[in-house]
Amino acid sequence: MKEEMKEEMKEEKIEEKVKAWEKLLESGIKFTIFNQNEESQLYPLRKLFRPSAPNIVKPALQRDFEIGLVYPIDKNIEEIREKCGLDRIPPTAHSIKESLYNKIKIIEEAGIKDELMYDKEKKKFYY
Amino acid sequence: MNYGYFLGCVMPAKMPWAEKATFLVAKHLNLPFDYLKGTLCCIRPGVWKAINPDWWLLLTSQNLALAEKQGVSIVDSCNGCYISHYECLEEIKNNPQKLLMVNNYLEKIGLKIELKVDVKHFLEILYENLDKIKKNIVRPIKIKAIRHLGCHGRKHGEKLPNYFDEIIKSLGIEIIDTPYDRMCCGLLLYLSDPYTSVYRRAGLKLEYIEKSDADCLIFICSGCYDQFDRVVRIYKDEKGIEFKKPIIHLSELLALSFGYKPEDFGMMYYRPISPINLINKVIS
Repeated sequence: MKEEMKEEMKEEKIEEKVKAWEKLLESGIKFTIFNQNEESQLYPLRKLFRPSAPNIVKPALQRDFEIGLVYPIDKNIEEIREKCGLDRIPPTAHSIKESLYNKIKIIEEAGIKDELMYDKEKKKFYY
Repeated sequence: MNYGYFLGCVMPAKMPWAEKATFLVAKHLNLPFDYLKGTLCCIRPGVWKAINPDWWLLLTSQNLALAEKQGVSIVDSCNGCYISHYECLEEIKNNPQKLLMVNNYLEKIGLKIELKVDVKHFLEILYENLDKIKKNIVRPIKIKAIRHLGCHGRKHGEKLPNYFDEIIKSLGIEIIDTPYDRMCCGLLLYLSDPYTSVYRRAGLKLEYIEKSDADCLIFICSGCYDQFDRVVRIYKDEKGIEFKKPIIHLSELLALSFGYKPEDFGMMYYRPISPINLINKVIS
């Protein structure tokens, strides 16, 4: 009986999957340098810990650190903006880089980058 | 004081038609309105406050300091950006130690907050100019619509929800009330519970709209739009369900009512649901 229930629950879980979310999670994992699950096989006594930045938010955080905003303006959007009668690139940190550099300075000075374990050179999170 | 419009992350990248329509409307109403320049992410309070409230305060205050430097009041049409700026300002106004902490960092990048800045929602500005809006309507919008204000628009009382409704009605639009009017779009829930976020929040509302007499869904918040846009695409890609009723920004309807043509603000481009049926109904 218990096994049947487990099977049912499994089926429900399968129905509940949102593929777009799983892709987002996968890309979050790709933004991670060290994999704790792999490491725990090499170092079984090492304690697993919960990183400050969850995998699901890493893609957005990474863009935030690199662009200053959550969404980039690519060539396709530039063209659409122009068709809408706007400047190709908005007057945000997308084009005014001083704002981005200032934000990065604050992120570093306040220890945010270190706490979230972000590697500026590799543009990835350690964990 | 002049207004500095805060674009945020979603509007310039996902809804340029709303950005253009907003500026057309502001210009048409002769508002002292321009971009707040050099802005960054607001920064999302739902995420950052949960990680570390001081970081949220610090990073949000960079936008407030930019507005002070440019001598403008911040104007947000995204409820998330509005709440972030509004609550950050309230906190540093009421807590001198937090203001000191924020300024210690801001001084390192040549900025400072002297609490001269003001934060306004775009709906407040529109409502202050409601008589002017009514006088400028040359094309009443004779449609039925369901509206979605968003949770953060309700956080500080009924002022913004009432403004939203009043402005919509002033254009000639008939509002259809639904059981889901106060329901969250599910944007932040998407991070932890994607199924509920997609199929029990925004999806539920979109399904209801499809079955109703409404011609469209009217929104104002860019954060909510981000979620609706995502949910429309997930329904299409993962369930094979295509919604027909478009998701329309309030500024687009204002621009149309002032006599602007859909092509004046690129209404047809880059949309998850085509607004062609709505355009035909409004223009005819």
